[in-house]
Amino acid sequence: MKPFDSLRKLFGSIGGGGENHGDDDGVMISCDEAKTRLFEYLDGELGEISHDEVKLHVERCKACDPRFQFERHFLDALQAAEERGAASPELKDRILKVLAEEPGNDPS
Amino acid sequence: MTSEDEDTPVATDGDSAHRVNFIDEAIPHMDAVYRFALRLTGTQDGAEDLVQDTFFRAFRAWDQYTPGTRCKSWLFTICRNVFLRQRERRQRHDEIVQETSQEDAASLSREAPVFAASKDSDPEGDFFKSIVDEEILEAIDALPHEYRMAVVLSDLEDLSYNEIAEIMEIPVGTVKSRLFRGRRQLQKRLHGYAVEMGYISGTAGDQ
Repeated sequence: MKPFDSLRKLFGSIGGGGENHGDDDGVMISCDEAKTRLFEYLDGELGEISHDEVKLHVERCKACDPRFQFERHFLDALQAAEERGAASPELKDRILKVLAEEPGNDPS
Repeated sequence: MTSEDEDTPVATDGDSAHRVNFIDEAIPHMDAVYRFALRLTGTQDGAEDLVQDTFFRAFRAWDQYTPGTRCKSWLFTICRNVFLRQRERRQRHDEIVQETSQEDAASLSREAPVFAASKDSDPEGDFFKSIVDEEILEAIDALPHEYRMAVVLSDLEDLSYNEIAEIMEIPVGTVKSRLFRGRRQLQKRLHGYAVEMGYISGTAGDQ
């Protein structure tokens, strides 16, 4: 998100508080940071760098992994619940019929 | 290339071409609009009326649609506006969401009370898989409508924060807080349900 976050993390070397349960190779963001971006990460809304930071953290952090799985299972359940809804053929016919009777807005 | 058929308007007069474009571009999204309408109104009859009204208005406003932009988002915007107008007419201001902007999207993402509550018995939230679709949809329908709209557009219809912001006419930050708050409420209810059904152990209800 913020372009300087990753640089700050590099130079600040985890100075910004929060625990870090992963293998600390000096570039990992903190658990707090990862969780802050968690929904945006799962929603595919993060920029590439930010996305990769969270991805790396989750892959390596045993403490954060369950929370991410939890949210993913939740979001998957929502997605699965919706797949079946569709407008009835009667409704489609009715709408098409109404539109056929409606004069179009001829630009002329 | 035999693109002649595709490039040549099927009808020669503006009136029919207008209609043909609309049928090609807008009508295929009817199922998505219907699902959205169903979640907004909560009843099949209400949804059918709303969809019909939406497409009727969309057809009349078709020359305001910018070709090449996402037609689905455009239709959702109309659907939302028609829905809100209907509500206003019925004078039902029963579920006004107070915007406590203090709780920002970041902390809503960071803190997870339901996860904390079920962590010991089901750390990865497998119980969500056991919940029947009807229960999930009912839980969504029970959300305050501003949260519901954000959740439906994001989690059921897969739109981006930006698209949702445009449809709901709110800033992206507000989209996030409404969406995350809606998700939290949903989790709370589904967790309560899972405990009640014996899918997981724990105490149902508020924590």
